[in-house]
Amino acid sequence: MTGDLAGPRTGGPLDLVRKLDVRVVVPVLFLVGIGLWSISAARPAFAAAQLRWCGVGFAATCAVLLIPYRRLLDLAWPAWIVSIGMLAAVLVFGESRNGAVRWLQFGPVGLQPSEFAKVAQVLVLARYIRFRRDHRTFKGLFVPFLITFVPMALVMMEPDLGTAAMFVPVLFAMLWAAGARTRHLLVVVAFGIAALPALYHSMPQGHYQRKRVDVFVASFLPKPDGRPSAPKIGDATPKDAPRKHDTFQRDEAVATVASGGLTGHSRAVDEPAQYERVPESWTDFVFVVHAEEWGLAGVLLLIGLWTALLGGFAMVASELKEPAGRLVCVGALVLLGTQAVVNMAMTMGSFPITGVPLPFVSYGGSSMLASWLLVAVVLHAKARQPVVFSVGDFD
Amino acid sequence: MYETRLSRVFALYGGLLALLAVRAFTLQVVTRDEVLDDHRKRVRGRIVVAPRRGEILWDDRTPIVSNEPGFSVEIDFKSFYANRWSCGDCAAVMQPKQEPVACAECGSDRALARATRPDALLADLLGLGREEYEAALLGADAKQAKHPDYRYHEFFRDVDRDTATRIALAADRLPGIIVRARSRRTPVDAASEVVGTTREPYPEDVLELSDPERKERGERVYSIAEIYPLRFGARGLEKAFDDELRGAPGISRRTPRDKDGRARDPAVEIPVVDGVVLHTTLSRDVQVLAEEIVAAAPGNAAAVVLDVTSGAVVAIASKSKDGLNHAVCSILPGSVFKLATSVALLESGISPDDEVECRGKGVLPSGREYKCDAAHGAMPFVDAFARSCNAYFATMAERAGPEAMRRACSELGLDVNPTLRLAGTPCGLEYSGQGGRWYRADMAKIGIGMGKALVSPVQIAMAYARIASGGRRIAPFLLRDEAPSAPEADPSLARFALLIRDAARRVVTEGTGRRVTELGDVEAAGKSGTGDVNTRGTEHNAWFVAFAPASAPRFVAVVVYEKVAGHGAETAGRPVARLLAEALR
Repeated sequence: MTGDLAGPRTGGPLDLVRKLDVRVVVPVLFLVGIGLWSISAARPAFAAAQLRWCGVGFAATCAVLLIPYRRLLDLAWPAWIVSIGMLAAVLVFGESRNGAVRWLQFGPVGLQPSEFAKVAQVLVLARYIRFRRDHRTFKGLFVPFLITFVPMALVMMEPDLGTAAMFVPVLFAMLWAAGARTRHLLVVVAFGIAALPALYHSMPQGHYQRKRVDVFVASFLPKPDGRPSAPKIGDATPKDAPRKHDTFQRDEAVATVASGGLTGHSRAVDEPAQYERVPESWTDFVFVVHAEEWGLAGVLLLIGLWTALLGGFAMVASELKEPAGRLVCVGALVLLGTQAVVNMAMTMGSFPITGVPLPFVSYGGSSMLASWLLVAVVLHAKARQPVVFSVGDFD
Repeated sequence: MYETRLSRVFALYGGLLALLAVRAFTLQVVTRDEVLDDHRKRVRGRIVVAPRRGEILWDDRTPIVSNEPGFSVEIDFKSFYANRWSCGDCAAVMQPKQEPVACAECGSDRALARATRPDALLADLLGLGREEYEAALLGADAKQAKHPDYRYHEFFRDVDRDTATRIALAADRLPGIIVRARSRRTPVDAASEVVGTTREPYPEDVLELSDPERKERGERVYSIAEIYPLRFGARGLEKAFDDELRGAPGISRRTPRDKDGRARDPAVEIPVVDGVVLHTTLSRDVQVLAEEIVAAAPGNAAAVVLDVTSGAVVAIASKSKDGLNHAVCSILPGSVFKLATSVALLESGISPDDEVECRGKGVLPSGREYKCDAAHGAMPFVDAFARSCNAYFATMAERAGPEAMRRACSELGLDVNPTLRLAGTPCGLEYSGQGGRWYRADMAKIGIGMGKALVSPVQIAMAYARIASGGRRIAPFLLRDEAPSAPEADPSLARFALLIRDAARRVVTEGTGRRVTELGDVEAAGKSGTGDVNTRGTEHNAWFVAFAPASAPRFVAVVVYEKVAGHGAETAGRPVARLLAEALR
């Protein structure tokens, strides 16, 4: 069924570089460029650090490319176990920022283990599923779900609901691509949806995550016609209605995106940019900087780059014959794609605010490194794809 | 299967990205202005910059009303009622969550005690008695019940600067009490009727200014926060020019510190537009006198002084209980309306030398009865004007006819009431419902200023100013910005202006106004009028209108006392003379 899992022999690092898939690398480099530009506009002091992390990510990619294919998959389980350990360590030793414990401090460097846990999940799922058929039964879904829910539960305890939610589409997409039965997955999805209200009510009243959901839901509820009821100047808003400070970040982000107009917001030299009012405009909300500065033209360029990158992943995935490589590509596509879509959607007010960064663009070493690692494994699968003789998908 | 599913996964993400592109297009192009408008109203860090309500100035550019800083004391009940501890050693009051172990000020731990509410201190600082203080507290409590989301509620307003300072200095002993500066419109003594008053926004103001349909009309839609600090005109010029005086609030936004951590000025989103300054034509001294004159009247009264050369209103005062400014309201004029009859008869070709026999009481050629103050005998025009002979003017009005009367009224400006944007009523021809139609049968009464003849003091002042100025079409104005260009002469009026001026001078020298010596002092020429309000003749509208100096008129003054027992000249002549003297001074 399968051939040499160690992969073909290569002619050395230069040969590997030549084999890098431009359909993946070029969009990534453009996205990184956009990210650097936006960060330097919002927080010039952070641009150098981002560039350093970008260099680290690229170096990590090159390092991954040097690892033989089989060895890389052999590293999947250890990587997953290390990531679980780091996630557990975060809960014990983690550093609290903005009310959540998500970072582990290694000297001057702070790492967010949840970002690496996502990469480890992709690798370990790909390794686990690649030659199996039992995931096509309901019972066989148990282990993949367990592999996913362990890190997910730890991330939720940080608490980081947004990042935890990223594990789910990756799991489903990889299982589905590997041939899991749709109806089985739909049953699980139905159970998941049914459990959402319980999850919502399990959040403490006034908790910021609950407020974010409230704000998002409130934005779809019918509003009064905007006219204040005259005799009630200054009347209290209902106690459970989202308050102004709850919607602040979303309101500012949406208005900042809108202010970009068609080709970007022109302003006087001394006039502060609107994005300066958006909290975290250099990290999770970096999209607003780009959208304000370049307008719809820039946004369409960014969306186009993401489409190109995801398309690149899909093309690589379709060209590969080796099952683990295929699944890694699908996992990378879904993970990065989901993060990008969720990030841009939340910035434009179409999704609850989550702590999900825009890969390659947002400031953040862990996110940058993890994203590069995902790209690295895809490029690795493409550059070092083993010869596979198969009669059908995942056979 | 793998290929299909892979392509579907990619299609899903491609579709989601396409939806994001559509969302971006909607946000940045289709609904951009709407989103930004909405955002401006909702975001935090938005500062509403209240406009400065426009000042109203006297003619010499000193302010009649302006804005002065005022102070109000506001209370946060939560802090005010909260537990506090006071130090027996240094009298400091602390408000920690837990009972302190030592004084935060002096470190003493000996005499810490639960502090009582500082009502006595606050009442003392405000200079309030117990009942007043409790009433104020109840008022603030009611405001809190109405607006529970607000932290501070107005407790006491219009606090003077010294009291405000004392309360501010006692802040450490008055937790929950703050002093807030508020702009205050200075009260107006003189010209209060003209200038009017301001008020807080009414619910209907909020509804009107926040109506989203204003946007379709190209007008700004205001939020409550923008409307709340505004003051609205309630009466007088404050109401008439409310839109201009009110100005438009500006919107600024707090900006984050710059990249070096330095604070930046708020970014101005919508510049504040202060209210315009209304430069009136009112002269302070004359206005004060006019107010004094009408204030002394037993009932309703009005006084107007016009500058004959331009039509500028030098003074305008009114006293009434109906909320209207009686200087621009219809009042039965009596004989001051004989000016219109004079112009009509002269223009219709009747010679001023034509005489009418007055027997004090009799029958007109038309068969209608007339009644005069005395049997004047044979009267030519000038004598009849000087002695205000009803027989002459009733007869001549009938001879001249309604058309000539209408034309004369139009030439004198009596057809439309210039209300000067004050609250008035229609007068003259404007008042008559059927397009200003007068009939020959009405002429005997209209000719002597009775019946359908209804004019305002401003109209009468304007009519006499036209004659005094030699027939120029003088139109009254109250604001310097609204001054018309140099009025042209009306040839018809100009022909007879001198004759009528002479007749008016005779009123003062040997006619009905001869007993008012003060009129002679200012070389006035004028006309008295007594409009009978009831049929018994016990209540009159006593008018006097005069211009001075008669040889080169500069000012015309009218005073009317409504429903008084006295006659025109004896009642209103002296006040007119005072007004003219003051204006000429």
